[in-house]
Amino acid sequence: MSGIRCGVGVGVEGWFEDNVRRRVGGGSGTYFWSDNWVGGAPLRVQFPRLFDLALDKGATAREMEEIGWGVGGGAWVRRRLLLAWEEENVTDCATLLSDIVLQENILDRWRWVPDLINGYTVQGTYQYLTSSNSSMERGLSDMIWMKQVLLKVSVFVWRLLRNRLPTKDNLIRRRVLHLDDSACVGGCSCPKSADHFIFRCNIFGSLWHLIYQWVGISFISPELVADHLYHFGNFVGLPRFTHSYLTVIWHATVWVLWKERNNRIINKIAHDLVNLLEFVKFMSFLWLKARLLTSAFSYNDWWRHPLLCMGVRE
Amino acid sequence: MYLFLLAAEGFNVLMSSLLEDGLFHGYQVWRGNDMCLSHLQFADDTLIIGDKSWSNVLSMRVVLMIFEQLSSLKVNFHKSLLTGVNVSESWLSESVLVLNCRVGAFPFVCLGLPIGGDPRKLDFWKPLLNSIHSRLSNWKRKLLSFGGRLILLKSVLSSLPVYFLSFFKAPTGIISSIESIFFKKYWGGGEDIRKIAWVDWNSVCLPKEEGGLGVRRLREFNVALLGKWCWRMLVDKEGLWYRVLKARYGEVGGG
Repeated sequence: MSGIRCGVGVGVEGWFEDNVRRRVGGGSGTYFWSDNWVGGAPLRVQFPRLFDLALDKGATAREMEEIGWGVGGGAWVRRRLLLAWEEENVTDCATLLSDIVLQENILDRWRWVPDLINGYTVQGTYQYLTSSNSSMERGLSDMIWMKQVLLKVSVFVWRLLRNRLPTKDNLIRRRVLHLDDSACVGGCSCPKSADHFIFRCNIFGSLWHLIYQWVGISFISPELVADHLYHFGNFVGLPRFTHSYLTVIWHATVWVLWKERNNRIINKIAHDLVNLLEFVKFMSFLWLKARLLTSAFSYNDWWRHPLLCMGVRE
Repeated sequence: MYLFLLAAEGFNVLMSSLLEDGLFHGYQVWRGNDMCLSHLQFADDTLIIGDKSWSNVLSMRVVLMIFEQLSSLKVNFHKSLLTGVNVSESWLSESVLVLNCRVGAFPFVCLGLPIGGDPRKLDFWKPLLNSIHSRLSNWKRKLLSFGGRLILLKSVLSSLPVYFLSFFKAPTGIISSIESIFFKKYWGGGEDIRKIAWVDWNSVCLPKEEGGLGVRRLREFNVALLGKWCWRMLVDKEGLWYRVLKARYGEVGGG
C-alpha cells in the first residue's frame, strides 16, 4: 500500500510522488520522515543522515511535534552524541520546522502540485507529461486553425507552412519523380516548390495582385510563406476586426491555387486568372456566411466592396 | 432504464438478506477481517462472487429464480458463466448442471474488460486491436479528406483504447503498433499499401499551439489515466475498491 502511495510502478519514475504534497493540519496522518510535506521533498531525502539516526522512522508529524522538534527538543535525541555537521543538520531542520503550527481540528490532506485547485485531472496530467518548450511563433496556430475555414483546408495550410506538400521538388527529393520534369505548371521554367507556385510564379503569383486590388490594399509580399500569412492576416493598415476576414481570404486563395494546380496537372484543365479570382471571392463568401450568421451582406456586396462588408468605413 | 435499475436494486436486496442470514457466503478478501464481496452489479451485468460450496450454488440458483418470479425478468442461463478459481473441473461441471449454465474460463469479459488476463501479454490486447481494425475499412480511407481523417483519428480512434488504457498499462509493443496503425491510416495507407508520410508522428502529436495537429500520444495518456487511480487511492477512501484493497493488503497508517 505504501508503494502505491508513492506512485511506484506507474510510468515515468517518480513523476507522481514528486508532485504529491501533504498539506498538514493536525499532523497525525502524516509521516514525519517519508511524506512530502515541508520544504519540497520528504525530510528523509533532505536530511538523510538524520533519518538514518532516527529512533522511530515511522513517526508521524504529530508525534514528533509532541516530543519537541525545536533545537534541543526530544525529537532529536539519538543513540549517540551527534557530530558537529550533524548538529548543523539538526539546526537546519529545526529552522525549517519552526514556522509550522499544527492545527488539530484540520485533517491532513493530499495536494496535487501541478494543479492545486482542481486536484488531479487526466487532461492536466497528460499536458504535464507531454509538455515541451517549443512553441509555434507569434500565434500562427490560431491563424491556421480558424473555425470559419474547412478542416481539410487548415490541414493543407499546416502542411504548406511546413513545406510538406507533394510538390514536384518534394517528390524529387523523395525519389518519386525524376529530375527532368521539374518545370512549373504555370508555364515558367523555374523549379517548382510550394512557395514558388503560390507566391512567385508569374502566372499564379499574379493572382495575389488581383486579390490585393479587390480588397483594396497594397501589400508587399514577404519571402516566406509563414510571413506572408502572418502579415496578410494581420494587415497593419486595417483595424483588428478585419483580420479574421483577411485570414479567411488568404486560406481561400491558397486553396484555390492548389486546386488549380492539381487541375492543370491531373485533369489538364486550366482556368484563367479572372475565373480564379471569382473562385476565391465565392469560396471566402461561403465560408464566412456559414459561420457568421449575423453579418448581413450579400454576395454582390462582398464581390464589390469586401472592406465595407468587413465593417470598414472609408 | 430506470425501471430496470429498480428491479436490479431488488436483486441487491435479496442478496444482502441472504448474506445476513448466512445462507450465502461471499468471498472473504482476507482472513482476519470481515471485508466480504458477494455481488457486483452494473446495469444488466451482474457478477456473483462466493466461496466454493454446495450451499452457495443452491442459494444462487434459488435467488435467481426468486428474482425471476419477483421481477418477471428472465435470467438468461445460457449466457451465464460459472467460473472457478482453484476449483476442480468435475465439481464445476456438476454445479453447472444444477445452475443450468455453462462453465467459463479465465479470462472472461465483464463490462468489456477481460478479467483475469495478463495485460503484459500481447493476446490480451487482441480484442482492442481488432476493434480498431474494424473501424478502418477501406472505403473510409478512399473517401475521406485529410480533415475527415483527422477527425476520425482524433475523436474515434484515439477514444477507442481509452477504456482499456484506464485500467491496464499497455506494453510498449502494443502502443507502438496501435500508433503505427493510426499513422499509416492518417496518410492514406493501409495494411499493404504504403503512402508517403509527409510529417512525422512526433510532430503530428504536438498540440496545435506548438505546431502539431493535437493528436494524443497514447503512452503519456495511459500513464495519466493510471495516475488517476493513484490519486484516488490517496483521496477517495470511501470507494469499494479502496476498501477491498485495504482489506487485502493492509494500510500503513497515515492516509
